[in-house]
Amino acid sequence: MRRNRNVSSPRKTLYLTLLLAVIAMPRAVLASQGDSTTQASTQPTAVSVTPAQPDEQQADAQPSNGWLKVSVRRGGVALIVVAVLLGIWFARRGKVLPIRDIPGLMVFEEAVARATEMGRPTLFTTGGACDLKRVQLFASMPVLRRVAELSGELGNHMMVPCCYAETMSVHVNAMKDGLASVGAIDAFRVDDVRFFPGGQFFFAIASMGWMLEERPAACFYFGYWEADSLLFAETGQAVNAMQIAGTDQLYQVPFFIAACDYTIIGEEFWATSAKISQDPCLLGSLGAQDIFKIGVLAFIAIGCVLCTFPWFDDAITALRDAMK
Amino acid sequence: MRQKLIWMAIVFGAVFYILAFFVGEDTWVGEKLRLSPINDGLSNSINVVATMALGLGVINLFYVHGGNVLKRKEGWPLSIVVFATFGIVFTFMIWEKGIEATESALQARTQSALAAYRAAAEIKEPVARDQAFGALSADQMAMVREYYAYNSTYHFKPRTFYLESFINPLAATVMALLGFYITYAAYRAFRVRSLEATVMMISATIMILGTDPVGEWLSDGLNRLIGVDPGGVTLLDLPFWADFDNRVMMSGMQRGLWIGISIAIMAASLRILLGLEKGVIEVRSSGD
Repeated sequence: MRRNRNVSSPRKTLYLTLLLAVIAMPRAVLASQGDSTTQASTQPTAVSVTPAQPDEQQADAQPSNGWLKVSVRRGGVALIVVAVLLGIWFARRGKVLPIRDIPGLMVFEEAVARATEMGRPTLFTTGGACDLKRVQLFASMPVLRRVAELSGELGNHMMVPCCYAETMSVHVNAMKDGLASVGAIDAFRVDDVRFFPGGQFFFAIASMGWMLEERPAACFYFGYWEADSLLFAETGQAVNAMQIAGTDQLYQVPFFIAACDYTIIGEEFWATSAKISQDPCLLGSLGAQDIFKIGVLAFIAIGCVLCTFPWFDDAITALRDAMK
Repeated sequence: MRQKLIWMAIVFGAVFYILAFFVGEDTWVGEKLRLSPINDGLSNSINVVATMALGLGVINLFYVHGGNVLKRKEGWPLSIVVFATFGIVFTFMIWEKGIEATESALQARTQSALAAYRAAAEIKEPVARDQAFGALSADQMAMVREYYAYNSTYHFKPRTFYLESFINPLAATVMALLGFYITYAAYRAFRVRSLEATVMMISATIMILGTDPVGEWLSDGLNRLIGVDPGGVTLLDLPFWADFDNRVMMSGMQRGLWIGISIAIMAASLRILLGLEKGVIEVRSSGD
C-alpha cells in the first residue's frame, strides 16, 4: 500500500526541465560540433578564466582604504537582508504568500499513526554531519517539534539519535516543546534522545543497531546529510519503515529518492519548517526569498538576452568585473 | 531573564558581524568603530567559553556517571566503561604528548647539526663533499647519528596507534558497506514505477553507457552500421548525450536549486543572527 509513492519532484518541474533541455539542445549540439573545429581557440579561454578565482579572493583581502567597502556582492547580500526583514514585517501584519502543498509533509500524521498502530516507535534524526554550525539543524527543528507533537497526540514513543553533544540540548528542547504543546510532556523519556559520538560513520552504525533493535515503523531524516544517508535509509527499508527524508544536499538526494517513500529536496526543505510551524517570521522570510528569486531569475533572463547580442559585450564585461 | 541575556548576546554578535561584513574592518569607518580589536576580543572570548565548556563537560561526566556507579543505577556497569574509556584515551593522549615533547626537543637540539650535514650531503662534487663532511665537528656528527638512530627505530605512539589501527579501519569498514547499499538502492531505483522513475532510468542508462568505453564502442559501431561518420553527432552518440545530460540538464538543475538554497541559507542565517529562529533559545513550555 505505501510503496511506489515517491513523488519528491512534482511533474511540473520535470516537464519544465525537459522543455528547457529541448530548448538548450540545438545550442549544445552546435557547441559540440564547434568544439571539434575550434578546440584550439576555446582552450585558452578556459585557462584564462581559471585564475580569476584567486583574484576574486584577493580583491576582498586587499585593504580598500575607503570610507566603506562597496561591491555588487555586498549590495546583493544587503538586498536579501532588507527583503527578508520586510517579508517578516509584512508577515507579522498578516500578509503572507501561500505555500503549495508538499507531498512529504502531508503524510507525517499517516506515518506516525501507522507506527502507533504497529506498536513500533518513530525515529527522527538530523544525520551524523549536522552539527551546531549547520543552519539545516535549525530548519529541521520545527519538523522534530511536529513529529513530537504527533507522537504525543497518538501515544507513540520516539527515538532521536544525536551525534554532537551541543546539538543534543537543541533536540531535547524541540522534542519537549512538541510534546508539551499537546500536553504530553510526561511522555518524554531521557533515553529517547541518545548520544552516539565519534563522527558520522560511528553514529550511523550505533543508530542502525538501535533501529534494528527497536524496529521503528516511521523514520524521518531531516537535516544536513553526508555519506551516512544511505546507511540510515537502507536500514529503514530493512525494518520496513515508512521513510520521509528532507535535505538540501543534492548529492544525497538520489540515495533518499531511491530508498525513502517521500523525499523533500532542495528548496522544499527550507519551506518545510515555515509550512509546519506557520510562524510569521518563517513565512515572511520564505515569501521574501521567493520574491528575491524572481528578481534573480529576471536578472538571469536579462543577462541571457544581453549576452546574445554583441552590442552589449562591454556592459556585460563591466558587470562581470563588478561582480568580482 | 536567561533567555533575554542569550538573545542580547546573539543580537550583539549579529550586529557586530553584519557591520563588519558591510563596513569592512580596514576601512575608515571600520577603524573609527574599532571593529578589528572588537573582533579579536570576540574571538578570544569564544575560545574561553569553548574551553570552559570542555571543562564543564568533564565535570559533568564525572558527576553523572559517578552518581550512576555510586547509587548503582540501572546500567551502572556501562558508566564504568565510560570511565575506563575516558581514562584510556586520556592516558594515550598524555603518553603521546610526552613522546612528541621528546621528539621536539631532539629536533631542536640537532637542528643546526642536521642542516650542516644535509648541506654537505647535497654537494655534488665528491672531493668538496668529503671536505664538507670532514669540517663537521664530532659533536655535530654525534647529534646527526642520534637523530637518525632515533628515527630509524620504531616508537610506539599510543594515540596514533589507536587512530590508525582501530578507528580508521572501523570507519573504512562502514564506508565499504556503502558499496553494497548503493548497489541495492540502484536496483530499486531502476525499477520502472512511474514517469519520473522511467526518466531517471533512461537518464541513468545513457549516463552509464556514455561514460563507459563500451558506450563509445557501441555508438561507433551503430554509427558505422547506419553509415554515419563516427565523429558526427547522432541520436546514437551515447558519449555526447551523457555529456549533454551532465553539462546542460544536470548542471542547469543543480544551479537552479543552488540559487534557491543559497538564498534560503542566507535568510536562515539572518534569522539565527537576529534571534528570530525558534529552537536556538526558545523552549515554550517544556517545564524546564
